[in-house]
Amino acid sequence: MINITFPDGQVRQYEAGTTALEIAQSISHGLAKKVLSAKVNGEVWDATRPIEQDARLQLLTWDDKDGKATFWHSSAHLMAEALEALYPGIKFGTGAGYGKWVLLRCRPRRTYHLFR
Amino acid sequence: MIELARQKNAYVRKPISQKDAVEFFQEKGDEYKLELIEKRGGEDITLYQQGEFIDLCKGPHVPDTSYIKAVKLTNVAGAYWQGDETRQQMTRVYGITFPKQSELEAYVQMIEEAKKRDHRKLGAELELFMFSERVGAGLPIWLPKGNQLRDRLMNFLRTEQEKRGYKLVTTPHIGKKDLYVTSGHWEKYGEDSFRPFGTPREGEEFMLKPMNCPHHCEIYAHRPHSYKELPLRIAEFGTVYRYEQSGELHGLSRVRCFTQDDAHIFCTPEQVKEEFLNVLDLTQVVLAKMGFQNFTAQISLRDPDNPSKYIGSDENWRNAENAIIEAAKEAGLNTVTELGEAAFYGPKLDFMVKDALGRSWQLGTIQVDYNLPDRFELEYVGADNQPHRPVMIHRAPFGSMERFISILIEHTGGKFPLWLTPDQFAVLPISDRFNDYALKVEQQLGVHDIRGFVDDRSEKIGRKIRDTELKKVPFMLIVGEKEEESGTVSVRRQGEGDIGSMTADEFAVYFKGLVD
Repeated sequence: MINITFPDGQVRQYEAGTTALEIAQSISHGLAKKVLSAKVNGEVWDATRPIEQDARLQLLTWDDKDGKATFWHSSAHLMAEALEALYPGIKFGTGAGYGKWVLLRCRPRRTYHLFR
Repeated sequence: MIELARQKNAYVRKPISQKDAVEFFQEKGDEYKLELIEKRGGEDITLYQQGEFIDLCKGPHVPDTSYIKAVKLTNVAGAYWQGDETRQQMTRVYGITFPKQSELEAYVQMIEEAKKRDHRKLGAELELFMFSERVGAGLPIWLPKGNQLRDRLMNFLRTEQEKRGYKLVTTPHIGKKDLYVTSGHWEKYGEDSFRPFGTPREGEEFMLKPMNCPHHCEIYAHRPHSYKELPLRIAEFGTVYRYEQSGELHGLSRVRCFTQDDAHIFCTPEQVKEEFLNVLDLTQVVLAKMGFQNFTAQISLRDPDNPSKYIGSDENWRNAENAIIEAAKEAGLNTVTELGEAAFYGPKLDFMVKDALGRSWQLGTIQVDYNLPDRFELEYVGADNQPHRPVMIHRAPFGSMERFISILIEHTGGKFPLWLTPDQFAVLPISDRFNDYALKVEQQLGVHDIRGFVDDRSEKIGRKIRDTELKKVPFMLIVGEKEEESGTVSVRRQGEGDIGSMTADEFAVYFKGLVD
């Protein structure tokens, strides 16, 4: 078992390998639906990544700056997936969620005139 | 994108060795990712996959794509790989996503409204300020109406500061380069500043002043001080010059020349809290007068894990941090505390203000400084007859006149509070015959410090009313034969219509009643 410390100081025990999402589910189903990612020992993690050791945990939702950042970062990947489906062979530089902007740099093969 | 999102594909994290990663992207023929991997050196590498798409990524991600419910692509622009002009040109795709359709709709509406209120657009329409390519980009030119607005703001603050014991000074717009070597600004910001310039005398170098603090330190240092004289509050509407990349310039919010409503308070360590309370009170009075109701104070403190990053004794820091926290509490402010956000030279408090569109702006800042008093070797003689180092507090309730006015324009949509409006009334004569009487009305109101103009064009009255409404002038005073005979004006208020006739003096009393 591992000890998970919540922001209010409360400590609960879970099986090693539990994910933040599972922990949220153990608290309430409604909360679990809102969780986007989690801060584990100060680092932002996937909510679905197993936690193997004792940790400080903060669940992140749309109301948190870091929760929004995760959401927009995933959105950039989704945008890339969509662009790749539309323009096979497209190449991507980097993408990021900046504030409210999801942005992505890409360079398609020459045959596509839509892009420079 | 929405179609793909609905497939509810999980974002799967895959740790991978550098060798495997290189092989994967070599096979894909993706030189960009290979370059990124190379840059990362021996670091651990992770890939993320959702659906068919795999990318090099540190994460983290949401559990699956179905969380993304609303998508809007907003812009496409050219960009260079790694921001380097000599590298390949790429296309940058911008978009915005939300977990709810309703949030996207609210966002789009907010953006539309923000466009209408853009201070660059309203600034030109209301003839407040302009820019000239010949004068130079990022150098705002204040037109008569904008200047009047600016003057009213400065007069208001000047009066409030006088009540609170500030002393107003004026310092030159340039200073010797050595001044900034002493202050440390040269070392820190010299590369990004306007270049120093010479004089006919060899070896002599001056700089446009990028901040007022060094000049104010010299004012403090020009004679000895006793603890009995402290706190000393030196204020200046000081114009400063900072070089910004041309791509960074934006209307009045990002400029190369701006005027700070600056002041520096020199005090003893024991006085820090009292002075903070004093400044918090002033800033709250200022923001309330401007119609900003919704603000929080962001307090920036040291990073507790990294105390060596900061200058000044541990005891002074603890005192100042506690003083700020207590003062904010006593002032009844909503506060947010950020650890590790303090500057190396002292903790600070910033006012974060929400405007009419719900956007957050940083306005008004109060900053403790342990660095400059050291560098300028400032001293006061304490009750123990020994020399001591004063604490310096920088503060600016507006931040800068330019930035503040840009926010005020967008917050009010150009309909300024009555006391600030450049043209508070327009006198509209029904025909040319009444122009003289109209001028008399204008002069009479001028005596009461109510400012406006006479529309003496030979236009029909309907046209004059429409034009005045477009200019967002709050009061129209219409004068014709009946008014001239009875010595009155017919008053129309913007958005309300006719409110009756009265004499100019009666109008002045009515107007003052609205302002106070």
